[in-house]
Amino acid sequence: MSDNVITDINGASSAPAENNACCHPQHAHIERARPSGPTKMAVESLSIHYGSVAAVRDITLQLPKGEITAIIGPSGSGKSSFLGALNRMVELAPRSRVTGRVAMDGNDIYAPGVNVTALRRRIGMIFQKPNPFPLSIRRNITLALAEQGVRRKADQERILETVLHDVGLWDETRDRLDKSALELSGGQQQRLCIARALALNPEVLLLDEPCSALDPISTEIIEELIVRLRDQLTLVIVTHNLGQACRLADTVALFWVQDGAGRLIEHGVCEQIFNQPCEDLTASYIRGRKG
Amino acid sequence: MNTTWKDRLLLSALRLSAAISGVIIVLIAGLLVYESLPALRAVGLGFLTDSSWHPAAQAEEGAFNLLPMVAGTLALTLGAMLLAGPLGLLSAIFCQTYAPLWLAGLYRRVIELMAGVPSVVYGLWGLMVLAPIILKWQAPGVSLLAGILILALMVLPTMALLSDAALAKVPLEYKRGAMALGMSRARTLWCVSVPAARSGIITGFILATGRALGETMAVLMVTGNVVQYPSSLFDPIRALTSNIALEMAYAMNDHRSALFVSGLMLTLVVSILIGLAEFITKGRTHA
Amino acid sequence: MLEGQVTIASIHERPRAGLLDFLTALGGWTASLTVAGAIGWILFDVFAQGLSNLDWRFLIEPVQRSGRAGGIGPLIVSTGLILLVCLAASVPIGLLSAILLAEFSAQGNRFVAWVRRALDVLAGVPSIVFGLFGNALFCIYLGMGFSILSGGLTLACMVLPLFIRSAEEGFRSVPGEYRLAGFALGMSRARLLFRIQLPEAAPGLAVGLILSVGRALAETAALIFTSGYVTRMPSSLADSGRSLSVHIYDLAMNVPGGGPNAYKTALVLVVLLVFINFVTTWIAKHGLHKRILSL
Repeated sequence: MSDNVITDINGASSAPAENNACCHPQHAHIERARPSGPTKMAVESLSIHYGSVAAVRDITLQLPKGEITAIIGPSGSGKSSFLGALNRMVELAPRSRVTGRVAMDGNDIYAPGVNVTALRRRIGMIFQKPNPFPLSIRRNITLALAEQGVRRKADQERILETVLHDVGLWDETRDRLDKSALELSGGQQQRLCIARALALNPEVLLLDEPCSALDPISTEIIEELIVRLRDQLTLVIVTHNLGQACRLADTVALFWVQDGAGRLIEHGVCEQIFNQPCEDLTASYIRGRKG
Repeated sequence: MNTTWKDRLLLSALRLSAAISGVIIVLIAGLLVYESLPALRAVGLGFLTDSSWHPAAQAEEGAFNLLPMVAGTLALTLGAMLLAGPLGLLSAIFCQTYAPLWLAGLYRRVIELMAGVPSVVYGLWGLMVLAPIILKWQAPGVSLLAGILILALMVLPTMALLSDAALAKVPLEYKRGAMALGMSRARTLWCVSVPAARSGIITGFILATGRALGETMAVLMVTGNVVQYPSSLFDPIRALTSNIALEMAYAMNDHRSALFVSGLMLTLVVSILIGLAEFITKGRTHA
Repeated sequence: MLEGQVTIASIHERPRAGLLDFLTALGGWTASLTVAGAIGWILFDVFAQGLSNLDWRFLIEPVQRSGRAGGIGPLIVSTGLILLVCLAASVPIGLLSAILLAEFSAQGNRFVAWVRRALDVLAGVPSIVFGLFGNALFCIYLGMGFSILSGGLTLACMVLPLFIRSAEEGFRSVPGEYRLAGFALGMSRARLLFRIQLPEAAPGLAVGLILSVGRALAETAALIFTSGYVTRMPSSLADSGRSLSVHIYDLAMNVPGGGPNAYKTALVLVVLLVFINFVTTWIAKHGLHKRILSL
């Protein structure tokens, strides 16, 4: 059954700009109800191995431009590895090996000659645990800017203010920009990390369970922020929180461990996945019977 | 009833031993002060104002200016730290970032081995190999420069091993954060990892400085031991520590006491440095 | 909102920070090669000079003509005796102190904090100052004169912080569950300590012991004015006895023509220390391995 899904998505991937949000023809009406934009990133038969152990196997998936894609699934199903493959962070893990194709705007990001640091500046990433540098709030944001080529003090200041406004941190921090970022609360730290990534004006933002270490109020603020970013950016969020996926995502992808590696079970627009899943596995996971 | 008489006996023994270990430093300080007192009374400011260092058993008959040797010690320490500081930090960076894993492990072992080589062996090499090389360039060979080079090698392990440990402790999240922002390896290192490991690196530098100030044998063997202010790198000089080692054998009364004064000075400076290092380390654990 | 502020990098652009990366890598390699080269040169020199004309009888013959001829037999004995005195004094005191610091410091008591600080300062005291101290206390006030006993006791004060720190690490590495289990079984503190924690901490203690021996073997400045210069075979601990390190210093500095034998003695010392270095590493690794298995 799941093989069918993969085949279908493979079929769609040959025309990446086309509609590709659902897996089965009988759900075509939902597809039409929420048309997706053109594809920002296309993943084709991606497998990731650590040494001889496969983390994910044969994933094919499109990320529609300007939308939020949520990746859900039980622990160990390779969600974070998949996310890391999208900006080549996965290569930092020892003995990791990536096969298949990942393209952004049609360009293979694993092609030889790709500047990985430049790539990562265009595809931002937010981690599970907020990880601001042990430097001042200002420095946290300007550090990577200098490398991006923004060296003029005035430009840096302008961007600093803009992104802190964007994440709703400006009023809270304007008086203490030169204080250590580690003095901020967990939620504020996570927003600073998002601001830091936004300062580089990325096209894609990857979020790896960005709220799992935060309290409910901070979570709500971050979720609002993610929704606001929706139209400027293509977002991918890994989450264990089905409610969060439901609240935020346009499309949802379910990963599951099969034969010792993470596989893509189902991918479709949010309403369809939550209301009329094609797969029994999806249905039982959504209803909390499995996972 | 969980405290038996045996346990009470044990605890007393433990406390007694710990008290002995703790008291040694008090004994050292006390004895240094006590032995220094005669010279401090008899010479006083003469340690700074006398015409030269020509000590005698009776204070009135001699001259006790320690400043040229203080200058010698400072010049040696400064020079050695200017070399060992950057070299040690770069060594640590090499181990943490640029070296293949096996080479980093090997290099760490080499540095640990360096820390274990006795100072007389460094001195012997300095005297037999290094000084003659400098001599070919400029006489007399045994000089401030030879002392600086040897001393730099001797204190480098302290700097390198402590910086290495500090860099290793930088949380992986910082590095991942920097990588995800598309920062290059070198910028991640200099702008994130090194600042994050700052307190450990500074502690290493301070402790290495303390070792450089207190080193005796190697310095004694390669610096020529002429009591004078150094005017160039090729001048022979005498350090405070060498002075003690050289004159202790025949010093009497006020002269001997004057040597204890220089020992007291060294101990005070080194203790302050250690206190500083401890303060910096503590400051970080609180933050 | 953000458009036009930051130019979008092409993913095919040439790496920008290449220069800094290059310079850092160059600096790291240069520094490491320089340092490794220097220590390599020193060790090579000691081995090359020391091995030429080295005869095993050098190790047992008495010192002749101020060391220009003969061997270092009596000095090895003196050095060994100084070490024995040093360990006999420092190990019991150090072991008990380490137990106090590791096992009884949880209450955050003032006494323990004070001892710890005192040890930190003691670890940094220059060795020549230990020489002054030992000379004044042991040789003069306690009337031991220049003797193996004075030298050994001075070294004991010097290695104490080093030994205590390693031993403390050893005790801290014993899983706390053992303590809880012991208490739950109603064992006395003393029994728990000597029957369970002490054996478990043994690798740490061994490392501490060996590091102390290495430190004591390498020491020179603290011995010149405590154990003295005499090259005769010592007949008791009250005799003066010259250590190997002092012999190297004396031959190199005070004896014209003493160079070759200084190198031979240095070779003996360095071989001993390298051996000690390897044993320490081996025990540290082996002990750690055992601990992981036992978890």
